[in-house]
Amino acid sequence: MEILAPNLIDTALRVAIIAALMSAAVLVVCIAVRWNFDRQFKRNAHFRREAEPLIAAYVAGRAEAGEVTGILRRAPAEALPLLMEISDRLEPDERPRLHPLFAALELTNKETARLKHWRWEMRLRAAERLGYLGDPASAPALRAALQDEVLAVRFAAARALVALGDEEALEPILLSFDLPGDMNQRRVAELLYAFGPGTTDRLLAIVQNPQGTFSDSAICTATRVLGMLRAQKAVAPLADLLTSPEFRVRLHATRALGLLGDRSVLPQLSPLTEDPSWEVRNVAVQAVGKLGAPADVPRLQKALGDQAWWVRFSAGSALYGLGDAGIDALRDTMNTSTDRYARDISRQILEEHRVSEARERKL
Amino acid sequence: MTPLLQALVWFVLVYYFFLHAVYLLLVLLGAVQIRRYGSAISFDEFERIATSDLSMPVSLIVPAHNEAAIIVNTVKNVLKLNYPSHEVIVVDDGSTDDTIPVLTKAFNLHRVDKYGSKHIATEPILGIYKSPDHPNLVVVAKDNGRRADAINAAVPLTRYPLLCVIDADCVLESDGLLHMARPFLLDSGLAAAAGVVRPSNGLVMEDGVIVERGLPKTILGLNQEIEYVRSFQWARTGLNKLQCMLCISGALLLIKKSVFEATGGSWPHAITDDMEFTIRINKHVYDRLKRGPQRIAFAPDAVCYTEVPEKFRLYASQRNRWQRGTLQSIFRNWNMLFNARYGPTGLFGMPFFLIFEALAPLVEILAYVLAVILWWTGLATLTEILIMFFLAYSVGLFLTLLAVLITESSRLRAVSWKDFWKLIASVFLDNLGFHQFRVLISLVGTFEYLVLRRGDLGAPMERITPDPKPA
Repeated sequence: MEILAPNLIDTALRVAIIAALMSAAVLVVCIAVRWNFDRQFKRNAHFRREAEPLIAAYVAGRAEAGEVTGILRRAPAEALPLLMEISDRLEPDERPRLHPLFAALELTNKETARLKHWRWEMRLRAAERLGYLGDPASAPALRAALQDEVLAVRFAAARALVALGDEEALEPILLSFDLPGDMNQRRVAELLYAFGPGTTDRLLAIVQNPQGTFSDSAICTATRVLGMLRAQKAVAPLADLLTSPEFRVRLHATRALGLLGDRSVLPQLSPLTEDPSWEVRNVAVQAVGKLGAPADVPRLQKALGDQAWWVRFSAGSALYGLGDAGIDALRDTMNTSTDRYARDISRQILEEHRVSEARERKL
Repeated sequence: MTPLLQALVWFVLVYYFFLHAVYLLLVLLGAVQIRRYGSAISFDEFERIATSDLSMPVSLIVPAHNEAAIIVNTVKNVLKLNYPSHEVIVVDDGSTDDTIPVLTKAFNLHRVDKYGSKHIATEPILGIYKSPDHPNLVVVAKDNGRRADAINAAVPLTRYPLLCVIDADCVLESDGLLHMARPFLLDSGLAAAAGVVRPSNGLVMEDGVIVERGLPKTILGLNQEIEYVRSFQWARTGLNKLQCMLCISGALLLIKKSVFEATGGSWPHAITDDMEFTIRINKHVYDRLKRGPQRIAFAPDAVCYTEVPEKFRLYASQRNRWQRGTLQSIFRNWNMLFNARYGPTGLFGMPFFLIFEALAPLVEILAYVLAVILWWTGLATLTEILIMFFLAYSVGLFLTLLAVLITESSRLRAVSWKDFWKLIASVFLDNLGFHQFRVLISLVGTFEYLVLRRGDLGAPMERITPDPKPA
């Protein structure tokens, strides 16, 4: 009886030879890929050595656009990423200076058409390139791309609209990103912040939301942006949100008011250190610490005994930030409080900041 | 006797057919995934994450046991990472060398008595140290447990929502954390992310920063370089697509703190705690009865370098431990096997892990024994047996070269032409002794675990200080 039948051995040999030949083929492809990358790298490095000083001279006003566009048109595939890279290095107000160079590449129509490509990666690429190309004619197509089924494409389109300075797109952007989850809100907030203070009135209209068009999530995002923009005229409308029944709205309004730094809201803000939500209490304690005066010490001292560790920690840090009055309150709590948790957190804060008495007491 | 031999031969052939079919599937899936991953990254995405105030802050945990030779370099490396907000918590797990004194000297540490929200049940914490020069550095000294115990001790001291655990011998690329954190910014349902691990032997460091990326100098080191390419570049990418990445290397893991706590933390008695913990993360994330929409991501461009053994004695000890750890992890979570409750992880991942990873050495040894018996009894000629070995060699060679091709075409690892040829040479050499050595060690590990119930961690690594930059 044969264990390894001849046809089995034949098949094994054939498969082994095929696998060996395919291995040789893969090795050849490997070498070719490497060689090609090396070639491209050298070509790109050569182009950069030639084009980069010219572009720098143009940005500094020492060269005319015409002197640069010739070389860029010769190698648009290398020119576009180089211009994008240089654009990122410039301050936002200097970037429009590059628009004539981007325009020389004549890519707007091609990239606008690509916004409808069947592959989402191509649509993403197109949206981000249109932001750099800076052609206002692409705005309608980018607004349409805010409805794309892929979130990454929507973000790229929104970013491009911000880069184009299309403030009219603010509401469509907010509506297209009305998604659950803090992270998405944070990303949109950061994106809208790039519009700058010019959009404050639009954001205030969203926060006040008279027609009920915007969801709590959109209001939270707008609130966050107003805080980031330090928009002083938002103080009163944001203070109105502190009594919202939705805890996320209270949370973002409290955080934004902390950033705005207007002490006049303290009477409305301080009661939130006893809010039912620990997250709101935590942010409120931080805000009171930022805005507060020695008069707020008792309220923060009370928060040292909060049931949530983060609230206790924030209260301790806030007290330390208030200077001598706060440090005295921490020492007092550490030495005399009957609440073990309040004593612990006070000692911890003092130790971390190397306030000597905490160590002496321990010793 | 002959029918039994025939049945065993067919068993081995069918096993290898399925093994290589699955590997080929994983190679192809991995290639597609890496390509898609690369094309989905925006032009200045990592610069944006690096400068964004809104990026999620990360707590880096570095468990260390007798790592005085390298710990300062590692801490310098992680403190210098390009990331908007991160803290570093080094846990000295009962070292008997100078780990704490060298850290104290290098970072001007001073002791604090209270830090963090609470402590959980671990070996006792002996002291907590902070550095006025580096406000985001905390050093914890505790009694010796194991690596898992050290991680569990550090977690309550962390202040950020994302935890990144790296080994004390690891060196991260300066943008590594940005690449690891990116998936969390895109998907709020992400539970954990894993990155790529490569041998650090051959790196040139300057003050905690990588300045040159060479390859290991020894043949054994080069062989492991190939193993890591094969394992990370396509196997894990493909497995992750199938929701079956059951081993996230302990060298680089980023996980939500809430998920870490929900899984109950690392198991202190694990032989390979990273593997056991990964299985439980999968159990938590893909449990159809409990889970929300959660996911595990793999970032093929987030790179961490770890020291690999270049002495056969240490290499054998490490592989022996890995094999015992694999078996222990599977048996501890045996209820996931073929369990539809855990989706593809239970129906494919765990069985794959058991049959094609843990038990592969047994089948391979069986093949060698069969070959000898067949030749000895005259049931097969030497030529026929050599043809079968040639088949195994050429198919293995093909799959490994595909992994190298994927790495080359994605530009995930740029090495010089000289190093490239060294790498190719070690691909050809892998199946001419190194692979068989690994199989033998794994067999010993299997025996020691199943029969002798061995549960220790084996010989510790002998650390080499990283190459300083040449003058």
